[in-house]
Amino acid sequence: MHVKFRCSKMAVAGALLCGAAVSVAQAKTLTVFAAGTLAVPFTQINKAFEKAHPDIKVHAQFGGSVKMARKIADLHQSADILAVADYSVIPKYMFGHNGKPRYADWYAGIARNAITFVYTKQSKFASKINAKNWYKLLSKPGVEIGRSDPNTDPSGYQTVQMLNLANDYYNDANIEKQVLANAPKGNMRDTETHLISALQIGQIDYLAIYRSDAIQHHFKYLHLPAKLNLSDPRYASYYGKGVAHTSNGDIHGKPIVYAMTILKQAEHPKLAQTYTAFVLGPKGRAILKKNGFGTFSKPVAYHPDNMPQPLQALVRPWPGQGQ
Amino acid sequence: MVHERVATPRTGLIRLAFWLVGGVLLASTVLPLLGLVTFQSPAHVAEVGAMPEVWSAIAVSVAGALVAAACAAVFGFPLAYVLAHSQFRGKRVVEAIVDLPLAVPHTVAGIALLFVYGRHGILGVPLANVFGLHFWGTFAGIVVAMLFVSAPYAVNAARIGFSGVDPRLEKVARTLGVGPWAVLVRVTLPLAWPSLLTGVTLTFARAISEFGAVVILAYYPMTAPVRIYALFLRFGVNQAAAMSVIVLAIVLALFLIFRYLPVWRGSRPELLR
Repeated sequence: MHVKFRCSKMAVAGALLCGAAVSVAQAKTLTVFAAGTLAVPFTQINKAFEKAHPDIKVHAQFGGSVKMARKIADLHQSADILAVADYSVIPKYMFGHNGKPRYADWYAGIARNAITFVYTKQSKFASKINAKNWYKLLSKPGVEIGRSDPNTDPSGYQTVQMLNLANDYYNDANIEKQVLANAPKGNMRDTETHLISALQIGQIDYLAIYRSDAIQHHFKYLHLPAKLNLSDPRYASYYGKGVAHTSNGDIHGKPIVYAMTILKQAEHPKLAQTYTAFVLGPKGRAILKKNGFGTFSKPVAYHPDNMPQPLQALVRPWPGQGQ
Repeated sequence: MVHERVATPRTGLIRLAFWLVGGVLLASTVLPLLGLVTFQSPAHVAEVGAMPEVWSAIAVSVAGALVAAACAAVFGFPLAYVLAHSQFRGKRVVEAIVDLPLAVPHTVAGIALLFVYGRHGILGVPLANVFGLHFWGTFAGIVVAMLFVSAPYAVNAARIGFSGVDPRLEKVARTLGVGPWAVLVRVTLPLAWPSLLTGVTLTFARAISEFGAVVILAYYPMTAPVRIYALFLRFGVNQAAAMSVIVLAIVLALFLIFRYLPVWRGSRPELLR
């Protein structure tokens, strides 16, 4: 009898739990997977969005762009929105090449970023360094430079591409080699934000990172020329001359453009549409700008014809429709 | 020497029940791992097994964990002995400090270690100047991070082992004219031996699996967990899981060797035979 009583208690508890689960599912939750560098602006965007739409909860997960894409494509985790730091991640992993399932067929460029170096007061040459002499000082022996792994992380290969362009820009073939000599493997991490504490402690003097991170963390940073920092889509063809040799082959420079898409498998396609319109609209753009990102006067989209109808008016075609 | 307990019908029933209940835990350990193994096609395992960087990462992990476990034993067992055998003010505080690494988030542990062992750290500067030892992006850094997160297991297991040694046995040995060091070596250590080895094994296991603290100090040279993560980022879940299978197989083999090694069996001290 005793045992039976306990069982019935457990059954009641179980039923209550199930009931709770159902009621949670009824509250509309939008799942957003986004690049780690978008964590700060997207958290603010999500707050503003939830305020404007009290019936919607936004659940955001942040991580490396490729990791978040792989979570959807390989681990089959469900999300409504994917926002990445490199627009080419979406066609590469989501467009269903090589007979893989198709998760998306368009993307909208939402923001731009730039590669820079951040430093602190205690960094070597902190008082002398500027946008003109940076490559000479960063080449000096004893300077410790941190960067992310070019084999796994976009900012890792973008840093190398930028330095490769600097060889040409300053007409000195040794810049890349000398600066990278101060950024050996020991100073590398899978993503550069893992090196912020090392910079603050003084383990490294400079850290290659995105301008948005520099601004959000209130670091001093170098205002590198636009032709080098990968920020301006107008220099796309020039950026292409910057090459990083990685274990995945040679990667050519591209402007750093963040992109988002709504996944075909989205559980809440309508909510996702409202959310995307919010990000592409003036409020979303203002929040991105405040956090150090460059924005488009009118966001660009690759294959806008595949976008949900109401979103199409918010964008213009991607320049050259290029991937 | 081992006592075989005779199962009466009653205790037999209890054991059966306990096996059933305990089996739930066993299954919850085995099933996910089995899922990981069966999820793999042999082709993926072969592909990953052909990568030299996979084996170098496993070598770094095994070597690092062995050194960390050895350090934990050398520095942890004396501490465990003192904690088990003496009463002093602030003992609870010392015990809490020993356990503290278990509660510290591992990235925080890594940052804290960098403070101390880094380029400007209070230990990092003298160790670099005197011994040329660097902890940033080096094997030494990996060991220090592994040691920090795994040492509590060595100290706690050894403390329980030392506490379990009946002080009367040690006293009897002393009255027989055996010196204090000889009592330690010939009575206490043999009796505590199984716990000490458990401590070393747990420390090794915890050390080899550490990711968070290690990656703050050293991404390169890559340990096995870091390499698995890098494989996941570069190729995806198949290659990462394939390497996990290889690592699991090696760790399982090492565990079995540890458990069946003759030194494992705690022999009763010869003095007491």
